[in-house]
Amino acid sequence: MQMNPDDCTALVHAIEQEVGKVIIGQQDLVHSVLLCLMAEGHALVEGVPGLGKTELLKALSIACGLSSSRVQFTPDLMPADITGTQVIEESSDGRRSFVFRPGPLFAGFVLADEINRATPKTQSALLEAMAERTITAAGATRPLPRPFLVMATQNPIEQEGTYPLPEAQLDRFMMKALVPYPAAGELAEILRRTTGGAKPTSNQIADAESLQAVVSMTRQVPVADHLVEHAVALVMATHPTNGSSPPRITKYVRVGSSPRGAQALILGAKAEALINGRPNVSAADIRSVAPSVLRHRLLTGYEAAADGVTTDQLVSDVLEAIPTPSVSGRGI
Amino acid sequence: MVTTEPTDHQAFLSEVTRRLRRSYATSLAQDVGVSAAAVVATAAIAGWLWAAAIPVLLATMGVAVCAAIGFVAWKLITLKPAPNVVARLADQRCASNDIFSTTLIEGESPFSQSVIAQADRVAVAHQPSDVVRPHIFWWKLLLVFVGFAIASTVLFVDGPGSKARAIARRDKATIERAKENVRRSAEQIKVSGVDPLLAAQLDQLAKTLDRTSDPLEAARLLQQAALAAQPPDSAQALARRAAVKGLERGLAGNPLAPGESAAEQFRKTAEDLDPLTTDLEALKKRLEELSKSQQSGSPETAKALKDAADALAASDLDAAKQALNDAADAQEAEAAKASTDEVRSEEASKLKTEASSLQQPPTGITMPPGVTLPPGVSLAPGKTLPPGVSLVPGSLVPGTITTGASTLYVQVTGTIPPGVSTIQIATPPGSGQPPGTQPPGGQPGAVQPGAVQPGAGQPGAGGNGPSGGASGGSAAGKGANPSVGAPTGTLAPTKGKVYAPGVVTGGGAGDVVGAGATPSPSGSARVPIKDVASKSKARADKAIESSDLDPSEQDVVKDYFDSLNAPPPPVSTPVSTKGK
Repeated sequence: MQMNPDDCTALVHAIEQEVGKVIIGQQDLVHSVLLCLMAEGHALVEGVPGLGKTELLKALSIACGLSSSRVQFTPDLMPADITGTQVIEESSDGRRSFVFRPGPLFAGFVLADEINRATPKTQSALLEAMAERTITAAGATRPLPRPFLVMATQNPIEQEGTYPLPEAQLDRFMMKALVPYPAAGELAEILRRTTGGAKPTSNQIADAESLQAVVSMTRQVPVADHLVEHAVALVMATHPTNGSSPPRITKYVRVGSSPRGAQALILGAKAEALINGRPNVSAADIRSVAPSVLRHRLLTGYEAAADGVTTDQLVSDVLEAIPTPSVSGRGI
Repeated sequence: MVTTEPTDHQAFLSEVTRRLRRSYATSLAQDVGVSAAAVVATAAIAGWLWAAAIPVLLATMGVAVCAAIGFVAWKLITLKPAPNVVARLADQRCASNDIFSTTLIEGESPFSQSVIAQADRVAVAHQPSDVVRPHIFWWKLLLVFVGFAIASTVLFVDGPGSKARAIARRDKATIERAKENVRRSAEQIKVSGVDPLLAAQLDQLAKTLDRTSDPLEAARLLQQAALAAQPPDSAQALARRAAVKGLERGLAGNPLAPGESAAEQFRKTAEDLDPLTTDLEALKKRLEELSKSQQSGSPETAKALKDAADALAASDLDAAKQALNDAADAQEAEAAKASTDEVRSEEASKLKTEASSLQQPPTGITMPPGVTLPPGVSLAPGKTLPPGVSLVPGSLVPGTITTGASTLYVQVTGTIPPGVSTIQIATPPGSGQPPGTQPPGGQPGAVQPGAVQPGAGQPGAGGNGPSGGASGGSAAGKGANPSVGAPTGTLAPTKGKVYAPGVVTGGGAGDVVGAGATPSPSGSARVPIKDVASKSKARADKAIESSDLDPSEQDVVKDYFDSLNAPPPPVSTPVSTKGK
């Protein structure tokens, strides 16, 4: 499908507008999820229950015309429960054979609700799907539909009986979006829309093909070399052993962002540029997506928890330590 | 995203590049200019204070300015801002979300046209001047202006260095002029062949002056040369000159025989001597008269003429011829001597004049206000004191007096009490001191300013060595040949050493300094003038009477010998002191 950049931008804006019919407020969350969709990444959403995370996914899947599935992660959830399993199926002639029955991951949008309640074994079952967009089961590797977006949620307040996501798993998520509690006005609007007779719904305005074209277009957004270097500088500054790291990074961070984080920075910036209708990435794009991209990639020690230092604060330190690239010198 | 057609944003970036180069050069020039101005100002001030360093400082200033200009020009030529830097700068200043930087990305993409279009829009919406503004730092320009203003001001304001430079230039020019005069005189004397020895001496003096930069040293050399050139006996020379000229003039008016000179006439007379045609008696009388006229000035000529007259009286014509020829030879010899004496006298006079012109007040002397310099007083090393001025042994010794033209500088040791405005140095007549007995090194005079009575002959000055740097009489003098010292300092009543120009007045019939058996520097022995003045005057009078000198020339000779017999007036040195 042939689309020009402007068509892509318009399409994304239309999806955003369509989702906005269902989701009141939460623009940042919607925006982050859309960026992940355009960059073909995955989103980790952290927020208390009842803020519309499931509704968001449903609305998005409808608007995009993609299938969606919701998996409630529990401690007894097994990998096969989400990837699929082989079952014995009897044919009409009485012959029996093993048939693979796809799990909920075989969908365009997957909501992994409360992902941290599943065991690491089940969590790890997502790794291949998220990174390779394939699932290997019963000796066969099966591709997942494209686009493929995993939106996992975490409850930040109920930590008992949970299994924190391992670093490798966290790194697969392109962004970590925080779902704030809606403002009073937004909450009132939510009540008005959801407690009446007609439940708001979104309409399909895109399909897998058009979304794939958007994904392809996003990757082609040009980035100047110095901006790539800026992204690298930001990522390098998250490492405590780096000379340009701010003091709090050195003190509180045990492991900084991986190269995948740098990739996510650039891809997120490209998506940001495209969604804003610009033909190129700017430094502002990189810096605007940096908190969402980097916050879950900083592994902090117990000192940070003891001192109440959050990763958002640390990312702010990094952004402050690595200012927007500028040219200086004699005569300038 | 390279396009073949120049677009708005490319022209925009090109203009930004040009402006960036200019801005860089401007900024660099300001920084370098501040440094160069600082170097130039520092060098100018240093040169103002320290004249000797001027060549080095001028070189430093030149190198600083040239290096500054060269560095800026070199940077302007070689500076080529990278395109990505220019693009980033344009993005930065135009807030264009890095659109110009993106245009530099090579390769085609769906966004290429959009990027170029967007860059063109931004370029059209902005001016290159929005990106690169001239960086004029007024404080830097002010510093440059101040630096060069200081340097320019210093050029036109006399400082210690400029004063020293002026003095050095003047000294050099004076020495050069004296040297040229000496060399010219030597050449003339050599060409005339009158006195080859004097010519050689003057040649040597010119070479010595070539290596001299100190005017006082040059003056000393000229004084020495003047002494060497001076005929040994002025009175004898004058008498000889008068006799020779008188004889020539007499024979020119009343010739003995055809001939231009007296010697030729003597030889012609001897040649034509014939008892048949010559009035021997008249010739005898004439020769006797001529002999008498030459007795004081040219004794040998007189004797030969007398011998000729005697031979004629004895009718011995051969002897008379021989005597006349001897008279001719003697006359020629006397004429040559007179000519040499005249040349030497003239040359000595010239050398003295040159020496006087070099004897300016030493550097560093501050003349007290109110001090008047007597005209015509000259006391230089190697010269005698003026007639009538004598020094008490141990008081004003050679080396303690430094002199310039018309100025006598006296170094006073001790404190001048308040209220004392005049110090007189009396010089009792008849107390000359032989230079040969003068101990080396000046003895500091025990000056009691204010207590010194006029005419008491008290020493008024401490010694000052020939090097000019010592004071208080501790320096080594040269006795008979004191050189010009260079006392330093200003007249300060509360200081222990006071240098003040004094005034030598008067000048009676005193002794010649250094009179005695000790040979003078020129090698000739000297005697007190009182012993020879009367005798010389008698000889001069006699020579004048027996010659045909013009009355004016006779007066010159008489005045000279009269001056030798004049009574000596006291010498006083009023010293005006500041703040007394």
